[in-house]
Formats: sequence, C-alpha cells, structure tokens
Amino acid sequence: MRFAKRDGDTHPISLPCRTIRWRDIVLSMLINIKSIFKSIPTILAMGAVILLVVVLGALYFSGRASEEADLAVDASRLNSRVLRLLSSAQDAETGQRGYLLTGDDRYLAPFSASAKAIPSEIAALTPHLLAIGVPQASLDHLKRLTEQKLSEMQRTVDLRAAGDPSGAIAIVRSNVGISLMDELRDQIDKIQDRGSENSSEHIAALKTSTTSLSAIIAVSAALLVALAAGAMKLIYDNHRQVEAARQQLADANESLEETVTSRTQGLQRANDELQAYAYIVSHDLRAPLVNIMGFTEELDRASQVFKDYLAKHGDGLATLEGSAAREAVETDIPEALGFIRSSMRRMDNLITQILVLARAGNRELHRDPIKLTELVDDTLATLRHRLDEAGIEVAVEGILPEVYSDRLALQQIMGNLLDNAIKYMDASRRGTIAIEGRRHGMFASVEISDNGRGIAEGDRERIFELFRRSGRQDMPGDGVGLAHVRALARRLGGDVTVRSELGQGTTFEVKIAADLARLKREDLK
Amino acid sequence: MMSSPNTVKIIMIEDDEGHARLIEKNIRRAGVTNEIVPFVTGGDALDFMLGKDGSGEPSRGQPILILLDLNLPDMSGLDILQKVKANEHTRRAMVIVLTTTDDPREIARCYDLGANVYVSKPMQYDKFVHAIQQLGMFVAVMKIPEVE
Repeated sequence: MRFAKRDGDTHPISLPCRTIRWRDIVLSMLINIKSIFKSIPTILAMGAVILLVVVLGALYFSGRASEEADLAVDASRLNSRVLRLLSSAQDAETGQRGYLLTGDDRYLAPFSASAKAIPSEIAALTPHLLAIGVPQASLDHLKRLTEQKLSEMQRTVDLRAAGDPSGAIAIVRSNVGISLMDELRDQIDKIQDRGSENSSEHIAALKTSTTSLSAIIAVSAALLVALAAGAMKLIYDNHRQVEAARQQLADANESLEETVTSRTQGLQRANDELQAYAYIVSHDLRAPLVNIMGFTEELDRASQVFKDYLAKHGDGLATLEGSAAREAVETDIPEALGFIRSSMRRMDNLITQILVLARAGNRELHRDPIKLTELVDDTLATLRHRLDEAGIEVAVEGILPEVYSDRLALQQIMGNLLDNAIKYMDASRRGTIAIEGRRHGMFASVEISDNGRGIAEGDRERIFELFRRSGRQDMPGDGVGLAHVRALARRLGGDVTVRSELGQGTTFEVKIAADLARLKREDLK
Repeated sequence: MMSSPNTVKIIMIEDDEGHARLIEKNIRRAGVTNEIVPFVTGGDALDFMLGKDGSGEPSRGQPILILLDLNLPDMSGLDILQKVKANEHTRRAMVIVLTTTDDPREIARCYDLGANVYVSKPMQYDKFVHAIQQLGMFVAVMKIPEVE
C-alpha cells in the first residue's frame, strides 16, 4: 500500500516551478512581437509621408517649371511678333519706295498688305504686351508712330497715283518718314527689351523650380535612406531578440526534458527499489513462516504421540492431573495448533499477495493491439456462470476503444473490477453493470458502473490501499484487488478513479495510455 | 553412518537451520539413510565439493545430490548451481532447488542452469513433507552416474 501512495505523491511536484518559467518566456516573446508592431509601421508611415511629400513637391515644381517654360517661350514668341511688326513696316516702306520710283502697281501689293496688317497686329499684340508689363503709354506711342508712318506713306502713294511724283518725292525728302521709321525702330527695341527681360525672368523662375525639385528629391532620398537604415537596424535587433528568445526556449525545452528524464528515472528507481523491497521482504518473511509451520506440524506429531500413549496407557490415570493431561493433549494443544495454522495461512496469503503485486510491478509489459470490446467480452465470458447465478444484467454500450497496451494487465484490471462489481451487488435489487468507453487524446478510458451497495465517502481512496476493504465484510477477499488494479493502471500510463453513492452504486473509471509506446522508454524496459 | 564412496552423498546448502532440520527429519522419515552434509554458506559447500582450488578433485567418483536453497547469505544459489555445473567432476550431480519463491522466472532460470528439480517450500506442511519424501524415494532408487 505504501508505494501506491508514494507514487501519487511524487508525480506533481515538478509542475509549479516549470509553469513560471514557461510564462516568463511566453511573456518576453509577446513583448518582442509587440515592439515589432510598434516601430516597423512607424517607419513605414514615415516613409509613406516622405514619398507623398516628394511626389507632391515634384508635381508642384514640375508644374511650375513647365508653366515658366511656356511663359518663357511665349515671351520670345511675342518678341519675334513685335520684330515682325517692324519688318512689316519696313516691307511697307520698301513697297512704297518701289512704287514711287516706278509707278508700277505691283509694288503696291506688299505696301497695302502691310498697311492693312499692322494696325490689327498691334491691336492683337496689345493685351499680351500689357500682360508682360509694357506700359500702355509706349503702346499708344507705337500705335501713333505706325499710324503716322502709314499715313505719311499713304500720302506719297496717293500723290504718285494722282500723277504727282515730285510732290511725293518731296514728302520723302522731307525726312519725316525716316525719322518716323527711326522712332518706330527705337520704340520696338524698347518693347523688345521688355519682352527679353520678361523671358529671362521666366527662365530664372524655371531654373529655381528645377533646383527646388532637385533639392526636394535629394533631401527625401537622404531621409529615405536614413529610414531604411533605421528599419534595417530595427529588423536586425528584432531578429536578434527573436533569436535570443528562441534560444532561451530551446534551452528551457532541453532543461525541461532533462528534468523530466531525471525525475522519471528517479521515480523509476524509487519504484524499482520498492518492488525489490516488497519482493525481498515477502520472500524473507516466508522463510520463518516455513519454520513455524513445519515445527507446528512437528509439535502436532509429538502431541499425537502423547495422545496415542495416553489412549493406550492412561486408563489408570483417573486422577486430576491425568484428566488435565488428557484435556491438554486432546483439546488445548490441537486448539492452539489450529489457531497457529490459520494465522499462518492468513499471513502466507498476505505475503503471497504482496509477491503477486511486486511481480506485477516487475513484469515486462508487451505492447499489443487490443480491442477493448473483445477483451471485456472475454472477461465477461469467464464470469458468465456467476453473473447468471446472481441474475446480473451486463450492458456494454457502443464500441470500446482500441488501444496498444499490455493484454494481461488489462485482463487483470477488467477481471478485478468486474469481479468486485459482481461481489458487492445489493441483494435487494436486480443487479446491472454498464460498461462504456471512450478515447480522448492520448488516453483511452473505460467506465464500469454497477448499481451495487456503493462505497462510503471516507473509504473511496482507502479502497485502493493494499489490504484495505470497505463496507460489510461479508464477502471473501483480502483487500488486494483494487491496489493491484491501481498499480497496473498506473503502469499502463493512467490511473483508476472511483465515483460512488453509498447504497446507489459505484463507477470505476480506468484510464490508460492509448498507446504504450508513447510512455517513457524506461517503463517499457 | 559412514557411506561407501559409491553411495550418494547428500549435500544440503541451507542457511535456515530450521529448514535444514525439517528437511533432514523428513528425508530420514522417508527411510533415506544416505549421508547428509549440511552447509550454511555457499562458500563452504563449494569448498567441500570442488576443493579450495576449485578443481573438483574431492568429488571425483563421488555421486552427489545437492539440496540447494537460492537465498544464501554469501552468494546466490544460482552462482553455486553455475559453478557446480561447470566443473567436470560435479556437473552430473543431481541438483534439487528448494526455495520459498515460486516466481516462474526464477524457476525457469534454475532449469536453464541445469537444475534437475525445483521444489518450492510450501506453507502447507503436508505438501512439503510429501515433496521431501518423494525426494527421499527418488534418492533411494537413483544411481547417479559419475565420470571415471
């Protein structure tokens, strides 16, 4: 009974301190993960903002640049239009001179075209020139000059057409036309200067824009490089932390495995020692028993000799001593010997049971595929006679699990539990036994429920102790069965537990490892 | 009683004096008169049978029956069995293992090592007596072969 208890006591010791270390590791890992989520997105967001600024800046400055470029082109185009105005005036003058010299109408065509085009061109140019900052006064002046020049030329042409070439030449000679032309040239130069100025202003602005664009790109690129470096550093740090955590976890795992192994070995050793102890004790207890038994028989034999002697020669001893001697030989000695014998037998029986248990603990387990339904059916078949005699109904519900375990141990477990169920039925009602099983994870369990007399609450743990029994002692038994069942169930990687209601019935649940191979190698030997 | 060299000598190796006495009594009761040499330790018994040098010379031409207890203070009965079976002068000795265990593995081991009979000392005294007396009859009729 002692080792059954020890077994239960030593198992859970290792758990609490382990739990704390595991929690620490999990926590530190969580913190690492948290910091990853905290900083990488920050960097990504910053990168996105910078890119957005770059794109917006680029859009703005390239827009500005193309605008300025357009304006610069417009300005130079305007300048050439203004220049063309001058050449139109010169064309008109050339035409006028040709006509005046030859009187040929052919020369009038360029003059008339220019004379017609110039005012409308000036009108068209006016708003543009005003827009680039040419003062209204100088435009008015230009207009006036062209009008005067054109009217001067028109006059000479009219005179020549009216047949007065000398009058016309006299006007030409008056140099009015030349001075008007010079003035016009000056005025156009001035306007053109303004146009060139305007053009260079726009080109400067264009330059500024492109410079700004370059600057913004350069700064952003630098920022992005810095961010990328930061992110890489962060990732590297995180990686290192994760690696460290992983290493820690691996170390913890390893030490856990070591601890488990050493504890299992310790348990195994303790168990082995107990088994050996039980074996030796029971063995050595038996030797004196043999003597006591043997010499009791010798005593019996000797007293028989006395008895025979008294029977033959004791007739004359009708004295008090004689009858006392006869009583001693015929009654007292046989009675004493009887008690010695029955006590011996009882003691021998106990020792035998301890030996059986010790042997069961030492026996090598075999891993066989076992259908529990078949195993239970076989066990029931061996008990059939007693079941029928007591009128007990047995129901196996559904299909019991299939396991890889030790057949003999399972047979003994089922045999003992079913035997108990039959033995401790309540005589006042029809007995029923229900058997059901299930598989959960790495375990398989079988429940054997009866509607028997039940077990008082205080006895529910005691019944698993060696040589302990519960309830009315009206059935033969030596209090070994359940101790045996518990020892076997634990060897098969599980345990046996009981639920009971006094006077209602009892349910024993046997839990074993579904696959014996999953147990520690040491158990399998 | 003195025995001639050719009668069977019974070597009893048993550390429990009570057991030894009971065995002897019952053998005598069965009418066996052969010499019984009792030993309490395995070492003494081996010295007697094999000589100090372990040659087995003292047992040359001597038929022997060994009653062997497995649990001895100085060595295991199995060791004695092994040594006896390994010596050319004693290897044909009849060996009867008498012990309190009925462990099937131990029994098998004894037979593997060459024990002739395995008797577990039963608690029921009549069974024990019966076993011993059977043994006595056995000793009375047997002629144990010995090498020349």
